[in-house]
Amino acid sequence: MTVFRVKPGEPRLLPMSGVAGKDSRRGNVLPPRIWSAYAGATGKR
Amino acid sequence: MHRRVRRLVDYPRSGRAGLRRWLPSWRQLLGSAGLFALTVTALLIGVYASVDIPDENAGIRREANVYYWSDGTQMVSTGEVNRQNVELDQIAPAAVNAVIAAENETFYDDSGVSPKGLARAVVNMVRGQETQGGSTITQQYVKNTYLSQDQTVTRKVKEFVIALKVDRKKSKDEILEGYLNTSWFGRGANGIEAAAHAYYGIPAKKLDPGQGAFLAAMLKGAELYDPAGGRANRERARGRWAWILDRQVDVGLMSEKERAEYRAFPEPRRQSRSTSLGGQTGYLVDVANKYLRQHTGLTDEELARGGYEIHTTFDKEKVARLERAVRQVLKRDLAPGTRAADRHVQVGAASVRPSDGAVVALYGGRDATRHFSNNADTSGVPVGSAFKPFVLAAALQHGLSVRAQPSGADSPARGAAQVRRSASADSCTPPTAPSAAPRVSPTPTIPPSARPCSPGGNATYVRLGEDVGRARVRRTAVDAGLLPRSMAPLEPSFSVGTSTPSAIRMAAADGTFAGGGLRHDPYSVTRAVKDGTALPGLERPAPGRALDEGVAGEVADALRAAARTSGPASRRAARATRTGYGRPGSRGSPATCRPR
Repeated sequence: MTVFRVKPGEPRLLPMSGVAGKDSRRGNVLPPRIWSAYAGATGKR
Repeated sequence: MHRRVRRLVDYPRSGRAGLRRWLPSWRQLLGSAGLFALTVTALLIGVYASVDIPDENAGIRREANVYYWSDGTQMVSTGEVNRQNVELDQIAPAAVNAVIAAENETFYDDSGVSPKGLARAVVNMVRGQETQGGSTITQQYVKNTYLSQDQTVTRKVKEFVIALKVDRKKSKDEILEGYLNTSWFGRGANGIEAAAHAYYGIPAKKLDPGQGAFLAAMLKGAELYDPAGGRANRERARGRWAWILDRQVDVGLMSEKERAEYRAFPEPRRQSRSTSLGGQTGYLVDVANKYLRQHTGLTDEELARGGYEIHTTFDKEKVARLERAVRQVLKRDLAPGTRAADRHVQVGAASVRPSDGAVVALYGGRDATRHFSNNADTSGVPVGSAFKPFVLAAALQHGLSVRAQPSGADSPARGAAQVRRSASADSCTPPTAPSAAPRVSPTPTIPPSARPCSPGGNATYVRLGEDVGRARVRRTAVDAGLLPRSMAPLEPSFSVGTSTPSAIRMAAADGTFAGGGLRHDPYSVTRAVKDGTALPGLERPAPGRALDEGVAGEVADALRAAARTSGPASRRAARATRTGYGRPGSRGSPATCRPR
C-alpha cells in the first residue's frame, strides 16, 4: 500500500507532515488502518 | 379512296361504339398482363445482376473486449460496441430454437426471402407507413450486415436481392450465426452473447429455454419489451415470451412436456448502469491490459480492435472491500476541509495471494474516469519503511543473527536470535558471493531495534544495511520480486526505503515472506481467448526460490509481531492473512506501507 500527497497535474510529491493529525506520524497510521479494515473483514468472513 | 390503317394496338377499339369502344379485348388484357410480367421479370433479372453482395458494414466486425472476474462473472465490456461474436455451437440450442420460432419458422427450408414481406413493404410505403416487418432471418441478417437501417423501398429491394444471393452463397448455419451476433437486443447489447450477459449475467450457451424465449422477444424491439422500461413493457414482454414458447411447440421445436416446465416468466436482472470503466474497473482493466501486452505481445491496436475474452485474477468481493476500506478510513481520519495537510492525499493498494502471486484486489484511486494514473501501479513513490523487511531478510540470509532481547515475544527478530547462519548456507547467493561480502563484520548481529517498519528504526536499518551490504539488500529485494528499475541508488538511505516499487510489486514481493521464501511474480490474467483460441504466454508464472524458508519464516514472524502491537483489528488481519503489515516509520519521505 502506498499513501502520498500530490496536487493534480503536478509531479512533485508534497510533504506528509500533519496528515491525519499530529499523532499520525505523517499519515503513517493510514495504511495499517486501511489494511485492517480490508484484511480484518476478510478474516471475519 | 380511303385506305384503312392497321394499328399495332387497336385501342380504343375500332368498329366499336360507346363504352365498348373503351373496353379492352381479352387478347389485349392477356397481352398487357404478359407484357407486365415480362417487364417485371426483366427488371428483377436486371436488378439481380446489378446488385452484388456488398462489403460488410465496417462496424459489424467491431467487438468488445470482455473482462471477467476470477469467479467467471463478467466484470466489464469495453469498446465502442458491446458485442462478442460467438459460434453457433456456443449458443444454447433452446435459444436458437426460440429465435427461429419467433422470427422465421421456415428458416431452414425457405430461399431466404419473403415475397409477401416485400409486397407488404411496398404497400406500406404507398400508405406512408414503415416498410419493416415480415423479413426472414436472412433478410434481417443482410440488413444488419450489409445495409443501412433506412426504411426505404430501395433498401428493401436491395435487401431482398442480396438475401437471395446470400442464401445461395452461405450455409443456413452461417447466416443464423451471423444474425444472432449482429442483432440488437437492447441494454447496449449487440448480439446474443452480450445480451445474455446484459439480461441474465450468463453466457449464451447457458441460457435455458425460458431465457432464450425472453431474448427472442427482445428482437421485436427492446425499447418496447425490456421490462426495465416499465410495467407496459413487462406485460408486452411476458405476452411475447409466452407466445414464443407456445410457437415452439406448434412448429415442433419443443415438446409439450418441456413447455410445461417454463411457466414462470424468467425475470431478467436489473439493468446495470456500471458498464463503464468508472470506479476501480478502469484500473483493473489497465493492469490486465498491461499484463497482456507484456506476456502475449498484443499491441494496443490489436486490443482496441476488440474481440478478446479476458479472464482476470481479480476477486469482485475483495476489490469492493478494499475500496470500501480506503474510503472508510480516509473519510474518518482525514479532514481536508479544516486541515490543509489532509488535502491531495492519494492511496494506492494491492492485495496479492502469497501462494501463487495472483493479484486479487487493488485500489488505484478514487475513480479511474477522474483520476487517471493508477496509484496501485505507480512506481514514483518511495516505499519508505515497508522496505525494511528486505534489509532484515538480507541480513538473515547472509548470516547475521539477532541479539536476544528481553521483550522476547514482541521482538520481530526473535526467531532470528536463535539461529546463526553462515554465508555458505545462503542458497540464493552465487558461489562467488563470499568475496562480495567485505562489509559483514566477523560477529555481526541484528540489533533488537531492527524491527521492520518500527518507528524510530531508521538509524538501525541504515547501519544494518551497511553491515550486510546494500548491494546484497538490493539483490534480496530483487530476488523477492521488486523490479531492478525501481531500485534507488545504493546510498545510506537506501535501506530505509528510497526505492520506488509499485504497490502491486511490493505486495507480491512481501508475499515471498509469507510464501516460505518462494517468489511468485504477480499476475492478473489467467486466460485470454480470441475467436475461440486461447492466447499463448499466459501460463502461470513459475515460482522461484528467493530466500531460505527459515529466513522467510522469520521475517514473516517479525511482521506478524509488528501487527500484534497495532491493535485488535490488525491482529485479526494478521491472523486472517497469515501475514502482517509494515508499520510505517519513514522520515523525510512520503509514508508508505505495503500489506500483502
